[in-house]
Amino acid sequence: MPLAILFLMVFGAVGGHAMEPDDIVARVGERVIRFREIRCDRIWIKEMLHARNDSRPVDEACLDMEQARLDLVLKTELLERAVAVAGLDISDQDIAEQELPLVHDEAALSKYLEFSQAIPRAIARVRRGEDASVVYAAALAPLGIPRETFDSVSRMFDTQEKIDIYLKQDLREQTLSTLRRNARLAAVAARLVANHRAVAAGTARSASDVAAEFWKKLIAVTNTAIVAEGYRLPDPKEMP
Amino acid sequence: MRQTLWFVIVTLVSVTFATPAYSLMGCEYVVSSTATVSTTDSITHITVTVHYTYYTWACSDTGTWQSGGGDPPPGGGSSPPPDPPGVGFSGISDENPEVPVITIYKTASVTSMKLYLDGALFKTLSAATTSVTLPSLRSMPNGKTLRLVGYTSQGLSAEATASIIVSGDVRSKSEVLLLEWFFETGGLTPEHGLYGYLRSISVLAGYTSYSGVSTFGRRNGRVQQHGVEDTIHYGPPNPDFGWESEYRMSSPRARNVFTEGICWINVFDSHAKHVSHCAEMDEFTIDGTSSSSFIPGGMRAPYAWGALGPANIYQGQTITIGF
Repeated sequence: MPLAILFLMVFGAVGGHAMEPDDIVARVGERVIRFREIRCDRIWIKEMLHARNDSRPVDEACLDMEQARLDLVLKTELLERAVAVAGLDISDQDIAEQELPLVHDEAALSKYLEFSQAIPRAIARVRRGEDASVVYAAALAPLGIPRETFDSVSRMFDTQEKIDIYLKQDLREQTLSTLRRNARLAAVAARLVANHRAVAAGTARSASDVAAEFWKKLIAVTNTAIVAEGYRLPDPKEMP
Repeated sequence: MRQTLWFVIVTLVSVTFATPAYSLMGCEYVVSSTATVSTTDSITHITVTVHYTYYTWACSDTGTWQSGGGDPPPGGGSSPPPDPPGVGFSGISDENPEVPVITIYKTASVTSMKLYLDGALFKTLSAATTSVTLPSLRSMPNGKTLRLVGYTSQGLSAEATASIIVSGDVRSKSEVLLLEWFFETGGLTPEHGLYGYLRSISVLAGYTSYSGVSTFGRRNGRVQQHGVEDTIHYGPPNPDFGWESEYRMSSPRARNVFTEGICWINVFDSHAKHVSHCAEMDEFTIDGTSSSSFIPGGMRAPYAWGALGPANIYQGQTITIGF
């Protein structure tokens, strides 16, 4: 019996804490999802469990968070592919209905972009030698950003180079691109919900049964699979 | 010859009764003229309108009518006609909705009063009574009637009525909740993800008003909040998250913060998922204050239980609703 399987039998699914950042967790066709995209911040998890008086082991809570992040990535990739598989025709109007007002409000967008740079800028100040508590109190607390978030994101930006790249990128365009993509995927999801309800209408099947069947098919035709032990595909019943 | 007599009849604006002709000891008294004077109380700020009614008299002891001429009428009719009884509600205060107070008014001839609630005797009142403490507004359903009856020693009576009107309403408000997460990606630097959720709160409230009596003082009994539903509507690609929320209001009993627990509300819209939090308050609202549903930050921010990690709430953390 392979040692890894014996380990799993004794200790259960280990999740990602034994994995390296570049290890592959899952695939959606050619898209490879690596561990670094989903890995949890164990220090933050420990703090969170302590603060919430949660008795779960860190490994278990960490695995839950990684699975949630993996679900997000997989659902996003699958929704992208659902358009072709379901033969959906998503119009500009469909997308516009799902867009956040932020997309069309330049003043609000600029204000948000300031917010989105606040943590990386604060991290840069700390790296230059300023006291983290003083910087947090002055720059982030007034924005309602929790201290634990500051500390956790600081661990993500663990080099000056990452901070520089983040702050020098076209954040406005990147944010708009992300928001538009989310609006398009939300439109896809809304269309799927309507389709599944229409298919189920007048039959003995529920819309959730129709949806689950669709997602099983989508997962199959897109060659979506979990590669790493301890993780699972999204529950089709949780899909639109 | 007719003469205007010196007495007056006083009534409140909320009281109505006829101005009859009186027959006393062979005399008849009839209304000759009226006058109206309004005064405002410096404490309750209630304006009381007083109607003065003047009478003339005519008497007949022998079968021949004679009119008054400035002296008391003949035949022993020296007393003015009796002061017709009059009672009324001059104001009601629900500043403390648990102990509302109604103030009453009566004419001088009233020697006793009875207050009825929905036809049942609530209290017997002496002539000196000027205010009555009512049961809590919680026990006052829509249409509850207050009836005040005043009695004179001559066996005359007058009454006034007022009623409590309670109407229900659902007050709703929606806003966009914007959550930001930072992710590590396959790229050279972490990315920030911004996700928008439609968040709506609905509050079931009862509104109390009064018919037949005006209010004075703070209207803390005007709005009673019964329950709140705080729902987040979403679907892919927005990530799931665990969250907590609390409802904050200002109540006369200082029960101001309510933890909203998970509840199941059937919502049908284009969103694939709905998560609702509910709380039952059943509290009155301090007049002029707004209430809000609030998602705490810090370790209670929306990232617990299998969510994505530390999140920032950029917008929509608090939804405030007025009544």
